[in-house]
Amino acid sequence: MFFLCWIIGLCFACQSKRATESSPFLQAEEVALSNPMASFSNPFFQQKTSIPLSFALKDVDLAYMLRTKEKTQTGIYESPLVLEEDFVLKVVAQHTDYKNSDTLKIEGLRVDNKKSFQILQILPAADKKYSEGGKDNLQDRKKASAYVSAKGWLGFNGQNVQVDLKLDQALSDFTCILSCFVNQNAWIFAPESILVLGSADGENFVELGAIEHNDHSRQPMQFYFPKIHSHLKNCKYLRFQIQALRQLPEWHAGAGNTAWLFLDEILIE
Amino acid sequence: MKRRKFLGTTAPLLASPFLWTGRAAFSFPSSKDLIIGHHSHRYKVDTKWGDLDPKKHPIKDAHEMVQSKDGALYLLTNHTQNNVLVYDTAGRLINSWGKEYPGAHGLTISEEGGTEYLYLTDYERHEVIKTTLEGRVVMTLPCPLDSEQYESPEAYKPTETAIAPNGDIYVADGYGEQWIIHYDAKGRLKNIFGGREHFKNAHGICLDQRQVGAPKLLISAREQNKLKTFSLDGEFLEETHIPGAFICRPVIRGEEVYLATLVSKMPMDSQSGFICILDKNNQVISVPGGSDPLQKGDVSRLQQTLRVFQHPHDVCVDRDENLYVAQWNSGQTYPIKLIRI
Repeated sequence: MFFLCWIIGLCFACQSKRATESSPFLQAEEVALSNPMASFSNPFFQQKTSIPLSFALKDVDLAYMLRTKEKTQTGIYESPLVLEEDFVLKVVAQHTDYKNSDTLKIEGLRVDNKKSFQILQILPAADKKYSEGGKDNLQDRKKASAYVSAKGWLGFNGQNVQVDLKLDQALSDFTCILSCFVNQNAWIFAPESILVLGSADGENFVELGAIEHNDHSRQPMQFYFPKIHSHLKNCKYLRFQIQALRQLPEWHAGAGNTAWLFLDEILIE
Repeated sequence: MKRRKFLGTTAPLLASPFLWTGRAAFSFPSSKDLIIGHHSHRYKVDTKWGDLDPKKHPIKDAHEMVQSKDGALYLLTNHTQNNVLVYDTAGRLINSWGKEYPGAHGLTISEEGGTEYLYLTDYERHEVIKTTLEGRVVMTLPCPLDSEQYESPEAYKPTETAIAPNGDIYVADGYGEQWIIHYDAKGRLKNIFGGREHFKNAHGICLDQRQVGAPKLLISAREQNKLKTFSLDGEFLEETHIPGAFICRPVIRGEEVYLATLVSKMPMDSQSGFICILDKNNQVISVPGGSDPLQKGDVSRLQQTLRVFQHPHDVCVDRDENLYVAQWNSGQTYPIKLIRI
C-alpha cells in the first residue's frame, strides 16, 4: 500500500516538473494568492463586532483560526464572524491552482470593559506633525486610522518615549496593552522594547514586565498590540518605557535615517 | 535578486493552514501556465524576459519603458551605472547608456521630423532632458522659474512628459508642486496649469488622440486614484475615478488605456499592485493581477488577487499588444513581459 502511494505521488511530481520545465511562462502553482480581505478597519469595538471576509476570485477557500480567551476555533469561512470579546483571527486564502496567501492576522480589542486612567506625562513630547489631539490620544479608546496624517496618532522620530499614568482605581493582576503602528514604507516601525513599571505610590516603581521586539524585517502594514501581564498587587501608577528603533534597517530604502514610532492608545484590562 | 527567487522566498508559511482545513494538504496542483487579466485582455507571464547580469547591468528602480519604431525597447532606471537599457523584443540587450540621471523617472518617445527622441524627467536634477535614442543630449529644460510658481529649482520634481503633434512639450511636476508646464517645441514656456487645486501626485501624462481631431491630455492623479482629462490649453474637462488604484502614467494603444497600478487600498499592504486596462470610454475592462472588473459591475471592488507584481510602475505595449511591466522598489528586478493570448 505504501509503495502504491509512493508511485502515485511520484507520478504527480514528475508530471508537475515536466510541465514546469517545458513552459517558458510563469506557472500558476508558483504564484501565491493575495491576502484575504476583511472589512474590519477598527480593531477597537464596544460590546460586539462583526467581521466579513472576502476574496475576489472564484473557488477560493478562506481558512480561519479564531482565538479568544475561552476557545480556539478553526474552519472555512461562510458568513461574518461575530465577536463579543478580545480576539485574534488568522485567515489564509487557499485555491488548488495557486500557493496559499500569507496569513492575514486581525486582532480585535473590546474597549468598553477596560480600566480608566489619567495620563500624567509623556516624555518627550510627540513631534509637532503627529501630535494633534495630544495626550488624550492615548486614552480616548478610539483607534487611529491607517493613514499616518490622520489625527489620533502620537509620532516620535528616533526617540525613546516614557508615558506615566495614574489608574482611577488600584489594580491587581492586570494586563497592559499598547497600540502601535507598523508602516515600514512610511518609515514607521514597531518599538524595539517596552518596559512596564508599576507603583502603589507613584514614587517607588518595580518592573512588571518587558517585551523585546528585535524583528524589523519586511512586514506588511499592521497595527501592533504588545501585551504585558502583571501580578502586582495594589498597583495605582504605571510607567511605560518604550525604546524606539533608532535607525531604519539596511534593507530599507531610507536606511540610515531615523525611524518613527507611532502610538495611539494604552489599554488596561 | 532574481524574480523567480523572490517569488520563492516570499511564499507564505503554509504549514498551519493545512492543519486548519486539510484541503491543501491533499490536493495536487497541476502545472499550467498562469493566465492573468480578463475578457478580451488576458496574458501569460514571462518573468525571465530581459533578465541580465545585475553586476554588469544593474537596476535600482525600473521606472518606465517605451518602444521605438524599429521595435527596440528602452527601459529607464535610476541606477547611474546604466540609466537606459535597450532591449529587443526577445529580451536581449542591444545597448545601454546614461550615468548622469540619479532621479531618472519619466520616459517618453516622440518622433519629430522623422527622427525619434527620448524625453527623460529627473526629479533629483530637477530637469527634463531630451536626448537621441543613443543618449546624446539635445535639449534640457530646467525648473520653470519664469512661471513665478517656484521659489527654487528644488521644488520642481518632474515625473513625466507628453509631446503634442506640433512638438509642444507638457511636463507633469508630479513629485513637486503639481503643475503641468506647457512649452513650445523649442522649450519656451507657454502656459502652466493644474497645481494642487487639481492634483495630488500628478504622476503621469500622455496625449489622448482617440477622438479624431480633438487631442486631449490624460493626466493621472495617483493619490486621488483619478485619471483627469485636460484640453491642450489647460482647461479641465472631466475625470475618471478608479477607486483604490494608485495609477501611474496612462499609456494609450489603440482604443485602450493601460495603467500600471503601484499599489491598491486592498489588501492593506504595500505589495498590492496590478495593471488596469480601460476601454475607449475609460471603463475598466481587465485587471491583470487583480479582480475581474466586470464581475459585479462594481469598479470599487478592484483589488489584487494574485501576487504577480510588486510595485508596477509603467506598462509598455508593443506592436503585438504584449505588455512590459517596469516595477519600482521590487528587489531590483528586470521587467516582466505579459504575452497576450
